[in-house]
Amino acid sequence: MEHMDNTQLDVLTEIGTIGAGNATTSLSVLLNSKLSMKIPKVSFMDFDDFVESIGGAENVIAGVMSNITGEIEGFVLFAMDIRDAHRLVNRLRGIELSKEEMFTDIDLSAVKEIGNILISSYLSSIETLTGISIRPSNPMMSIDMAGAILSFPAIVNSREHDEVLRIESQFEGEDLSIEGHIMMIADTESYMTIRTRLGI
Amino acid sequence: MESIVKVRMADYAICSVPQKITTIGLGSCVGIVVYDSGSKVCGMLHAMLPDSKKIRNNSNRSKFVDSGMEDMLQMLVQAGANKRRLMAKMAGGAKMFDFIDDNENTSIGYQNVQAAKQILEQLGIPLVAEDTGKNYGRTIVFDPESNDLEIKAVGQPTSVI
Repeated sequence: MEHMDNTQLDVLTEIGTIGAGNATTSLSVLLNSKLSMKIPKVSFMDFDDFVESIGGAENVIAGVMSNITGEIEGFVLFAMDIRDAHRLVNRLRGIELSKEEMFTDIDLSAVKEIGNILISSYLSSIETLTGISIRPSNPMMSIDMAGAILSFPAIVNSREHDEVLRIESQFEGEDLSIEGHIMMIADTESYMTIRTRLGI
Repeated sequence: MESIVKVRMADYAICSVPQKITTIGLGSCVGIVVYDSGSKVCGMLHAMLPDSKKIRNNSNRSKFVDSGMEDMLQMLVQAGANKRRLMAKMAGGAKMFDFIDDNENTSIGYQNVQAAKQILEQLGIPLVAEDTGKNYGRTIVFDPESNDLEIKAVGQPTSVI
């Protein structure tokens, strides 16, 4: 995969900041709780490092993912450690945060809907910024090992490349102990499209 | 001394008794174990795609079922495995998400499993057991002493094939 210079990487960091910034604000409103976002990381990773990148390949996470098509092709993934997903659901239900009961169907659809809201606001802010039209699929959810979930976008990417270029943003609660990841994984051509549209 | 050899994604490795060999979080990827119960040497491949011939960028041979198997077999024989005694077990090839593939038979996981079966048949290596398909991830550990393939999945009891 063609590597990028610092200016090009800065553009992608900015994309991640704007996308995840808006997404974090939406979640913050929904939870009525302050969330802060870390500076996004843009990195090229080999497949194995990529699937290890959310707490290890065997770490159980809740992942909500949309496939994006149109002028940009790739995936946007919202992922949380399973313990954080429990705290998130408990917060929404107004019960004790540390409980880790089995998720009910309603809990699962709540997590999925939160993922949907985050992914939509992430993408719509990128659309607004760049003028690129992005078509996200319906989000799909899985609770599974991080390796198994992340291998899906990795495989799609692997048809053309031996590395994954991802923009990774993390947020964490200020008064509520939760952490989440929002990630965009796209091919080099898509990132080129973004740069061209921004005139960089 | 017991040690476990870890196979990375898009890679393979071989090991022999008393070592075990593992790969973590197989989703749509397929984990293929080929072993010789005589010399107690085994190899494990963690492949992402079925066919290197259909892809332009195919320099990483272990990414594919076909070229990965070819390389792994060569290494197994070099390590002392007897080609005629080889047997295989495999796991993985799940359909993790639904949006790209319309049905189970066109999913990349399914294609990986089919490619593995085809290659094994071509090579005359019997497939003794498999745990493939469905919609969840698997971590697998193979012990060349017992030839057991242990499969761990989230929310399910550990199984052995």
